Amino acid sequence: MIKKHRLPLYIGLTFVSIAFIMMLISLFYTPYDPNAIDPTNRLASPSLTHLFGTDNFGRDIFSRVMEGAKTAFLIGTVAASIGLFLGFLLGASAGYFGGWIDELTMRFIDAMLAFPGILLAIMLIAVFEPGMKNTVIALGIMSIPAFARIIRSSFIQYKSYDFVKASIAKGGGAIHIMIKHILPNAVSPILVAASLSFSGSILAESGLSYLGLGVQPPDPSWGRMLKEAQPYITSAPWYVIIVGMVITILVLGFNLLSDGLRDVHDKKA
Amino acid sequence: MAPLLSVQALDVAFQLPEGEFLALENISFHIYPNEVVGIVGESGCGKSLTSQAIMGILPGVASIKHGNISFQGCSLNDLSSREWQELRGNELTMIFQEPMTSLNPVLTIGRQIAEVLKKHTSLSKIERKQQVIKTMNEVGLPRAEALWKAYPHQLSGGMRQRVSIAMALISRPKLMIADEPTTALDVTIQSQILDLFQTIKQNHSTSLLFISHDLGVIQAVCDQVIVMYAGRIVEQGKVEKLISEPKHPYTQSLIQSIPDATKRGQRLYTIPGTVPHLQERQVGCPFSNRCTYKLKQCETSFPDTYEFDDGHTVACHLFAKEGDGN
Repeated sequence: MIKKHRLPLYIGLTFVSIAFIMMLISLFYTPYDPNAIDPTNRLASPSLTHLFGTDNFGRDIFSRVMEGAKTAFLIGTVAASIGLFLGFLLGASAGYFGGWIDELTMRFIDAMLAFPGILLAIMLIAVFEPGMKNTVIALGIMSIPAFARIIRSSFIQYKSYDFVKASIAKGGGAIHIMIKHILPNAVSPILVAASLSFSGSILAESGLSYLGLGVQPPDPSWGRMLKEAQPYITSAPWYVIIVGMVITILVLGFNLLSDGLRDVHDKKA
Repeated sequence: MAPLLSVQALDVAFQLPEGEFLALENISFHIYPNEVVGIVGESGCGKSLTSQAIMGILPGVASIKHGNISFQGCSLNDLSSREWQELRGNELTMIFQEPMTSLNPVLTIGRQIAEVLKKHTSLSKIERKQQVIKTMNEVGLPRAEALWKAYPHQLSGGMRQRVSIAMALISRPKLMIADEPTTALDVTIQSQILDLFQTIKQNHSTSLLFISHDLGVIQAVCDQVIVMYAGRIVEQGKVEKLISEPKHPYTQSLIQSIPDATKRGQRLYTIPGTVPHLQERQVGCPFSNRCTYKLKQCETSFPDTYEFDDGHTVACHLFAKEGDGN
């Protein structure tokens, strides 16, 4: 019973761990130089020498996937951190202070939610310029509303608890109470939101890079590999399938992880 | 001797959608150094609201309409939030009713008790820990070293309430407010906690405002008692005097409804009716519709306060002297 209940958590953890380990190994070692061109060996099918085959320039796809994992994790982590930090500032103050601060912040969040996040990201990138840094900033801003709303609802819930009043009665100030007393209680829902935001950011980055707006060469990116694989979808189908699978596994992994975390959290409550 | 805490003609109003309602009216009392004052009354009489007004933690819809609260001679009405933070936990502190909810479930006991010292003193981490362990022993928490790392859910209700008391006691406050500290506990634990309050009373120069709905509990720890009914003080005096010679019909009924051995086998007395709701309070004495001695004027005007010897006061028309008019 318990095992069944935790199954998504374990599958999610496994998928994410596989990708994470691949990323860690790529920091020290890749089977081939991910940028080494070998014109004699273009679009080779998967074999023992080239595990995932080679691309249109004869580069080893497995090495490039490993290299791309770095970008995926970097973008996921930084974007989720930006979203978490700004979302916390907005959500926590809205939830804790209430009144006009809450009203103002939440209308701002509503305005952000009113048009699709990916459009917002495209707009930001169009105004500034495509590249890793601007992609990360755009994706971070995109994930603010989700964090702000979840953190706000936790803060509204906990601010009426006796231990908050008890801390006020002991001379605790607002910031002390928000960070030392309420935040530790709100960790579970924040973790769920963070893991969802992580997968959302990776998917959005792939989308942007596919459109040519995201990460620019020479930074490796799974989204751009997908775009490069597109013309060879009939002649070298493994290229597009493998890259698509890798993105799917990591995103699915994070989604299952967040589902699993939420179940564990709800079970306790 | 100058009083430590003076509450003068305090009115607290609730701002509700249906209008403004006075939840506390004309509350005046003093607490002197080393004195234990009890507030007794049924639920909804304004006992907790009085304590929240003193601590400056009134709920958002409530506000002080009139009157003054002063602590050590300075008025609390217009303190800045920084001044409040300095005062709370340091000289003025509060113990809450529910030990289940008044401790943060995700922080260790040691950290929560030490928090007060961290805020109000410049002690080092090690000194803070020594102080916490000392206070934990003082309030009867066994194995303080092990409990330092424990979380609230690992403790029983009685132990948690001891932790709350340790948190309040550790900064050696001048005044501690205990809002029904034994209500959520079972009877045996209740008596242990009352013993602890007795010990604190003897060993510390702390004044205590002790709120309870149980006159028996009040009798066990307090010097002075305030009886509240529907947001008003109806009687106040020395505890022995008030219990042996209650003047107000409400106090008499409260005393009558305490179970004791001599009443064995009899049906226990209960006061007919209930406390009027905030929105249903009318002119006149709020107790009049439950009172067996009701006079004509009880329905039309709230009685003046009449004073007897030893500072015993009562607000009831039965004690009006001849020629007082209405």
